[in-house]
Amino acid sequence: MSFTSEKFVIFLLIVLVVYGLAPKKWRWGVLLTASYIFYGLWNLEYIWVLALITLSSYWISRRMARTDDSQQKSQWLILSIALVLLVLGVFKYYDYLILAFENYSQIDLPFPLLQRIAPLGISFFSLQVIAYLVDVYRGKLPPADHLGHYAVFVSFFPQLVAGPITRAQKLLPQIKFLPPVLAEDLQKGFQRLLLGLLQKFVIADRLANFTTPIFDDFSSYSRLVLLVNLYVYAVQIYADFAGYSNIAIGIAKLFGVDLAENFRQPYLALDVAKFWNRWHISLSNWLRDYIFYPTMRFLRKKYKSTRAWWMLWVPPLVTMLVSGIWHGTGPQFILWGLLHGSMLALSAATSQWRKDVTERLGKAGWIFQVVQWLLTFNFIVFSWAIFRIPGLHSSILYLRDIAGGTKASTMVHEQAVWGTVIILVVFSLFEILLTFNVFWQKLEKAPLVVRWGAYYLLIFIIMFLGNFEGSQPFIYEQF
Amino acid sequence: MKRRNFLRIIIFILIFLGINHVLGDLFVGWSRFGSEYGISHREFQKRQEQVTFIALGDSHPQKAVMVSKIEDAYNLSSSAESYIHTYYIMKYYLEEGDFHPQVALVEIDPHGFLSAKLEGLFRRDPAYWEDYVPYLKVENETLGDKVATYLKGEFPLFGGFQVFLTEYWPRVDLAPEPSVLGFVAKDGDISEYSEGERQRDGAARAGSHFENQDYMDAAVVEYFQRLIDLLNEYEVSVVLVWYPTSNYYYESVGEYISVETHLGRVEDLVEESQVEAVLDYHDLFFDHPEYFTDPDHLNIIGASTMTDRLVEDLTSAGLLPVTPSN
Repeated sequence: MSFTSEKFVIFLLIVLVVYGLAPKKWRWGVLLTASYIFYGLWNLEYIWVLALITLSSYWISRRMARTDDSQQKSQWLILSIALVLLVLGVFKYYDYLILAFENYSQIDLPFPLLQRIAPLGISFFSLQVIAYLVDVYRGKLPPADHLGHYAVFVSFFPQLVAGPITRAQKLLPQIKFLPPVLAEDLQKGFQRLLLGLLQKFVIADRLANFTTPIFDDFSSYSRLVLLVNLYVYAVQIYADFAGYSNIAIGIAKLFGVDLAENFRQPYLALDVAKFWNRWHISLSNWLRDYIFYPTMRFLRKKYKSTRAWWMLWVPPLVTMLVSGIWHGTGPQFILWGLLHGSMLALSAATSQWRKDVTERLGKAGWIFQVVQWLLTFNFIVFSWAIFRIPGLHSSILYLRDIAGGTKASTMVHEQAVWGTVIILVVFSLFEILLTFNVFWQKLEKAPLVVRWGAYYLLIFIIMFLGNFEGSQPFIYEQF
Repeated sequence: MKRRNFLRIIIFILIFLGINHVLGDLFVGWSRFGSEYGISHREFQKRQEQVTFIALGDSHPQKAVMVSKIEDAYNLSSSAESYIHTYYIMKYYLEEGDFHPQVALVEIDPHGFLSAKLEGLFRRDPAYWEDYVPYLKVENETLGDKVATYLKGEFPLFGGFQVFLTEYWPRVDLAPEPSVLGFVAKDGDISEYSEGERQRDGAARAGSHFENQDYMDAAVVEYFQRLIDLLNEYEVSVVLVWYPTSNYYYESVGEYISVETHLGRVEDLVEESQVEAVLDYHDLFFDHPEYFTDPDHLNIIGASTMTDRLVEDLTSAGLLPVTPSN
């Protein structure tokens, strides 16, 4: 049951009404039941995975907090994380690793393939649980004292499938004191929902009409089409995932719950480090806190050096390698991760120099900033080719065709071009409005007629421009 | 939640429905203004009082019956139309319009009795057809489909940009197909293609109609019978016509259904109804590929020749008066 299905609209309305009518002490029960129904309707056969991870992490976190023996504590942590990673690894990577080994070594392994699709959302709720366990281990967070509240934290349906990955520190207290349905929350949630629906149906799904046939048969298209297609895809994937995040945040807000923010105009970033501070923020923060910093601390402790070149390069490379592997199996995701890791290191290495040059240029400093933005934006756009096209070989062929390796001359249908141009204009206007936050603040304080007028305008734009017949599943659902 | 806020939500929804109604009507009127059936139906509405002879069905009669050769005739067929559409269109004009036909040609080509026709009802521009078809009352259909189609009809702006792109945008470049009194004239002829290409196209066309379809779908059959009964009730002489298609098409149709028994099945359906004549032209032009614009549609020369034959048969059956124009 996707967020964009009619079934989900009915489901959400029912849950909202039941939640509104439920006594205060049973609100968490309504959300827990709704979350398991939501997951079951989507993926009934794997509901045990969600329950297993919830129960085991709850129990272990409490055991961990009860002991003062640091060695025992570490053992509990390793056991619990190993359990989560084992489930994640079996479903997500087992088949790929067996097949990759057999293909490479030409040896048939005696292990049967699972041939199953991974449980929905496993990559997201696994990270959320690992963060909780590590924070309890570090003493930053007391263990959850109510299994029901903790189960809602792991399975809360607005964020279950593709995040945002919200930390226990932020989410658990909110679940403990769930508010009633408030008009103010409904209004704010509704605003975010509308933004998300606009990004998904109007921008992402319409642009998918342009990009999908080209990616599926790229050898038939001309260089220009392949090049333009990458830029269009960059907008599509952003609108798709930011749209998903806004819908999730909006739905949670209807129940008075604030989830973590996930995007902040990432394509305006001046370097790759800033890009990752603006793109999929909840994952970036997770990687920073649980991979980047620990790797850095480990290296510093082990080699007692803070100035060695590898101190600059190893943590970002390891972090983005993990990010690549988290996103998918296959060498292209490793390459994608390593490329981003290298650019992160380069961003850090040149950070001070870039700042100095900008200052030295004085009033003309903006030109240097535009150059930085152009380099960063184009790197991101081209790296999406590796991310989007299945197989490393095919992605390289795609990039080679852009560089002049193709003799194909197919152009895109004029209708698709104009449709895409219109949507890109809508996207640009929309991003400009988002950038000037003051617009939304002013709108909130505007008279009712103006506010409602803006809502109606947005609703009718979504209705008219939305691609409902050819709507695609959210891209990040597959991770 | 406070009562005041609850009231606000209700008012917000009511205003939304009101705006939707106004904008939806404007959009349907605008987007269908230049469409094939939009033009045809508008013209028919102006002439309905004079029309005494009507051709009904989908693209087969639309491109076959050159009604300018028959006095006070109109071709109200439209491509992909089903008996459900036709029944409700006729019901609307006979009951509410100023329409008093004497003769109606009703198409009985086999593909008209397939389940795809029912699916077409729920897919094809519900907002336009809701003027005629009360979706929630269509029988033999699931409630989910009825409600979904009804909602699509009530909220025509939903996905309207697609209609703009696929229907309005191409019209900027392309001239509309010439149509006279609802008859759409096609040029081009398949004799320009090799025998192998004609066979391949015929098979593909038949496959696109018949593959994975139920022949004599219960709902479609019911509305076919309702249509005949309705015409009988208003004392309109019913003539069933099996329109010509190329032999390349029918060779392949035979793989899906028994072409030989089709006529018998249709005659069984109208056993208790009043039908003036059954005209089987399906093999009339098997030796004339030059009369076809594609495997199952006549071109303008084929349409002219077929209409001459139709007029001759109807005149000899006493359904058309012997006049200089006939």
